[in-house]
Amino acid sequence: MRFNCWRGLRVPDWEQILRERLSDMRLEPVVQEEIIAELAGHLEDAYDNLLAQGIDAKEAQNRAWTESSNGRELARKIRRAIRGEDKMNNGSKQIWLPGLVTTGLATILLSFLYFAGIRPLVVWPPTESPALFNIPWLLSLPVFGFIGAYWSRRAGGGTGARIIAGVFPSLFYFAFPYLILPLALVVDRGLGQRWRHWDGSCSSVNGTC
Amino acid sequence: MIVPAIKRGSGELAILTVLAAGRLHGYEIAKRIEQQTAGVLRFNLASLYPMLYGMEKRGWVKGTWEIAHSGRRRRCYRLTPAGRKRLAPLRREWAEFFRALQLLAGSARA
Repeated sequence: MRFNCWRGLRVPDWEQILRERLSDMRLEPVVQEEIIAELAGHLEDAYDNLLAQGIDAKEAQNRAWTESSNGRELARKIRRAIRGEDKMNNGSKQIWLPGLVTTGLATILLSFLYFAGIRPLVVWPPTESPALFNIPWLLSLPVFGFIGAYWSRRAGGGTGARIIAGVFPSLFYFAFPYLILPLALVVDRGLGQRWRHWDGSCSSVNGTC
Repeated sequence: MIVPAIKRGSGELAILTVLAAGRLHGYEIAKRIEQQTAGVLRFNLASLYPMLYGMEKRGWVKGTWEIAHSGRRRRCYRLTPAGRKRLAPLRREWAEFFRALQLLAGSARA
């Protein structure tokens, strides 16, 4: 066992011992060193406490040593806790998951209403493209919003996370045309050029040039 | 309803409870829990620190390096407002879990 000197006493070098035992931790060096320093502090305190109880130094070393005996398991548990390997992070649990699931459910409901023959109300403004309003579906959005906000709350989300998760489906559908139209134009232009390249004629996907 | 998390929540409840009384470093947390449960609950390196790091990641506790009474650097943990908020429902869930076990034990005896 390696030893250090602390206030004139010969004490085990817990940091070095842990560095060897937890070499499998595979975290950023700075984080890893902080963890080793913290765990070494714990072992130092445990060792000092055992000495204070009148236990001899050799036995105290052995008892403190057993705390870190399964280094590989300890390294794995710490890595999982730090990286959250087996868990989603807070943003995923509190915003993305509830938001995306409720948006998915809203999309399924919209498809269902369409196939059930419930057509949207078409409003023709004088100078713009027609606007479609599916009233039953629009009325369902607050319900999906409530589900998303409740889910976020159950996942420990604060007020901000709950609001974002709640308005996620509505925001998604509000932003959908603005996201999908430029994308469609790019895809259409790309496909059109490819079409022209393949058959040498002036044609695009929709048959116009 | 008992949430499945209550199983791992027992350790979290113990840590949050002792930290509700004030800031402590890891070894003090383990000792305090051991003392307050008359030695029934014991934490070692492998059980305490991964749990503390997980709780810190969730924002329930916050660790900062400080100089302890011994003159050594120790990472002291304190409860955050989110951790304090988490403590009340965790206590309720735990009490409910014990009530359910007592009911089960009662019906098994009858």
